[in-house]
Amino acid sequence: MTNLEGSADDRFREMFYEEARELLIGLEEGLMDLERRRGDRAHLDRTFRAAHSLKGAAAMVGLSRLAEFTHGIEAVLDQVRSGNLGIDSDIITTLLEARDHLAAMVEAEAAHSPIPASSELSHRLASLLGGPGTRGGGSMPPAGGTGTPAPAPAPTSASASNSSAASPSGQNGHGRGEAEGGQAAPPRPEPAKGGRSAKSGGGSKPRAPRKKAGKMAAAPGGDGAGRKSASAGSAAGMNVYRITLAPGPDTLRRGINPIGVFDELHDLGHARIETDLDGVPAIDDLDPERCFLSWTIILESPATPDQINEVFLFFADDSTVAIERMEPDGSWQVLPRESPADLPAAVVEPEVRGRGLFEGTAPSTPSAPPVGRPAAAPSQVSIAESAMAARPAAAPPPRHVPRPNARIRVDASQLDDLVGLAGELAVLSDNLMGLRDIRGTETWLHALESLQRVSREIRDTTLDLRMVPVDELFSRFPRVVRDLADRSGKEIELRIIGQETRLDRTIVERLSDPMVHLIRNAVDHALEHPSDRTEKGKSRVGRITLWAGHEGDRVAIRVEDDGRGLDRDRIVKKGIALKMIAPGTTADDPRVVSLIFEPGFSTRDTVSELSGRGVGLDVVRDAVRALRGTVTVESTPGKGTAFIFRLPLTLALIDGLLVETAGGKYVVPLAQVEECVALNGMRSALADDRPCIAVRGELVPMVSLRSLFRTDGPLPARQELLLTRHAGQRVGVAVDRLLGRVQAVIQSLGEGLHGFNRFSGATILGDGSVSLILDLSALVSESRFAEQTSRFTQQPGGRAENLR
Amino acid sequence: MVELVSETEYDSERDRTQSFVVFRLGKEGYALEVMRVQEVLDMQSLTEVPGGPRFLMGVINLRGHVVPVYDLRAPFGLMREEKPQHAPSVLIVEGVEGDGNQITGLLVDRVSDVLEFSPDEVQPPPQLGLGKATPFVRGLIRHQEGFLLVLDVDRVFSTLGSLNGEGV
Repeated sequence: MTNLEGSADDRFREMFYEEARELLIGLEEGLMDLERRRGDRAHLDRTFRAAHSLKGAAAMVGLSRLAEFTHGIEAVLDQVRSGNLGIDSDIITTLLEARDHLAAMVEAEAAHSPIPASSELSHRLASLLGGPGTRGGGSMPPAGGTGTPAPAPAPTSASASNSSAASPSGQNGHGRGEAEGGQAAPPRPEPAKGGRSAKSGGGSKPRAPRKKAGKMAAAPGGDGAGRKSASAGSAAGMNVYRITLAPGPDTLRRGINPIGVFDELHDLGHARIETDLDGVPAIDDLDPERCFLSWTIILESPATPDQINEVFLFFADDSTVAIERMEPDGSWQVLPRESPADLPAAVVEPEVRGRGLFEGTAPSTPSAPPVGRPAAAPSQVSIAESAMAARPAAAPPPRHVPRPNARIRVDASQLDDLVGLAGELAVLSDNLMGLRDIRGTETWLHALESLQRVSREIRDTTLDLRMVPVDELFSRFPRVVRDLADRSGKEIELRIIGQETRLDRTIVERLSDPMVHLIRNAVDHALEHPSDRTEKGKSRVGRITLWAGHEGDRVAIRVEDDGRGLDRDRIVKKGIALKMIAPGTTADDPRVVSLIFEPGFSTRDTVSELSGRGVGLDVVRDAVRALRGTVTVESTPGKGTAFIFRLPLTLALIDGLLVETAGGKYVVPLAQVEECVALNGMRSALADDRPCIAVRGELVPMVSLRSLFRTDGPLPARQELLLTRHAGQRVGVAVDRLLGRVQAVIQSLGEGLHGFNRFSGATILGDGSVSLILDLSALVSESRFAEQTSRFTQQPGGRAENLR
Repeated sequence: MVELVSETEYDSERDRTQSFVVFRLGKEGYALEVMRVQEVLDMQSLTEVPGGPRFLMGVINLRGHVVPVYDLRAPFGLMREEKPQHAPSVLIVEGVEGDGNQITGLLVDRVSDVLEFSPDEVQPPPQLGLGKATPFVRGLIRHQEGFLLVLDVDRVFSTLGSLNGEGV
């Protein structure tokens, strides 16, 4: 049994880590926007809930250190929420740093080598809360924790209120918040604090006539506080609640332990709990992972209905939670339950990420037990208060609950294998279509066509599984830009457009570094200091725009700034000095701009702290090329610069042209070929040793695949020229023969061959042989470089690409 | 194709002895731990990679996966035989022990056997006398009339890796 529990524990931990990562993302995004969306209550609440959910989740899986540290963040956010703390850049920075540390703690925990909470950060968080009396960081118990006894509910709360009034700073500002509570009574976050705020609530009774009467009218739907004051008047600060709790069948699987709820209720006041064993099936049908018990709790507490509601935050829609309060006349009044379902869900972006452990997006189950059932249960067993030893593991007849739009998490490499296989299946079935031409196969024609159709559908569907919104990439940049802006002393606004555009998962992952590089460049080099900008008549705040969208069958991503633009004169000078361009080239030559992508080219002679250390844009270009994409740049002096990535929708498949040269078969990506022309009969347009050709009157330099591959043997009578575009110029690549179009499943060339640019991968042809995929633009720059090296340094045959 | 000895048969002795794939390279016999070898193939048609690293013979299709095959003779200073007596074998080796995803083919003259030796039978290698093969030998095993050289396959891979990108 212990073993079983242990493994279940591990599983919950695993679920927790995944959930925590998502909540941390939500928290970061929330914090990032906090400054900008000042006054956006819903946003603040969402951010707060991310921290709150994380704290609760950590406490539930027993990671109390995590929970305590998170509490520090939560406490600060709570103060912001209650208006006692104004948002400023320092607070955000501290919170972000604390979030980062929290993320590190979660990862360390997941890696089984936990690291301690940073006491420095805890201290800084605590100091944000005000005086030393409110060291929120370490001393507050986590939501589900049982360690620290909560302040006893105080029927005689007059003295408590006195003390809170006497030491306003020492009381966390809570006394004040509660006194004004009539107007804004958001869900009180902290059960532990509940005792105290309730005290002051009770204590505020003497002043109530003045304050509350005025505020109550203004309270927008502030039913909680309004009613509370009403009942406070009648029952000397104590409310009597009747709570019926019937956890949904999946509650335990989501890692929610009802016992934690009872502990919290005990903290709030005097709770009498009755357990309804009615739903428990015979032992044979008992599913230990299901919860079949339900409870009725009579709670005497000064807590507000909101506080009670918060206790049940983690119960999803498939659970039944009914809260009633005893009215002065002894009747029960049903309190509206704030649906927890949409709280954490809003933070976790349910569209993108999977349904998870503590997320409340579980679809409501039509077959959930009716509200009245537990209360009307005939056989009730009374259980002593804290002896809640009842295994919440019981089983009504196992019900299959349909889950519309349920999501599962899949191992990424398994998915890649599946995509590869599906692609091969499509290729194979395409090949089988060749059987049509054989006599006597007519009867199979229908089956063949169906096979082709189905396998193509399978391929397309699996390909679609790899696609993720580019937002997964973009969403981390607000933080990057903020940090950079902080460090550089520039004011920067980041605009993001088209973040819903979907892209291959691998592309999204691998685009991160190039984009960070460009953004750093923009902040460091392109954008001017605020004073310079105003001088030039620009807005003080520099702007960086990230844009994503479709361009034909490709996806384009722009990284744009409104800074000073490229300095063409300087680029030309540097290019001539480095012998990359001929002396005398003018600044408006179209080749000038593409120089910045060449290895070793940088107009900066000093290395700044922000931008790379001698790492240039060639790295960006190589990374994008490795993704079978291109990068171009547009720039207007004084107006700004835009880098544009154009990327394939997917990396797994490629539409290609099968060509043959010297007996070898190669695949050329169709996207790289603008045109094919027959080469026979064409004479070199210049002298014989200068490989240039006139295509419809245009002089086109030519690269011969044969000479590049150093194959000898007689030239075939006929050759074909593939016209491609390289750095804005048309270039021809000569091959022996065109064999036709193929749709190829791309594989990497294998270990150790990644740095090898001229082939972007390999594919397996229908006959089982391996064919290499040519990267035309790498080939062209290779031969161009080789030519220039030989011209400048008299070393024929220099290696074209830099080594990585 | 050589049948590899199944692991379970030797379960009880696994503590004491280790199985080695024995193959010939030039005039010498070599041994490589069975644990690193996924399978042994007969030489098949391969696709050349023009301009590829020096010892890369080409790539093959191993059940749908593209696997690079390197010539092990070349780094050992042996000439490529134009007309070998036997068709050469390809050892499919895991690049990192236990990682079946990174596999590389090594072309050798002929795989002849799978033999067991205890760790004490592996002697330290000589410092001299092996020529270009010296860095790739991590031990000697006395066998029959002569010695088997124990291949340090990690050194082979790191050497091949450092040569990659150097081109022709």
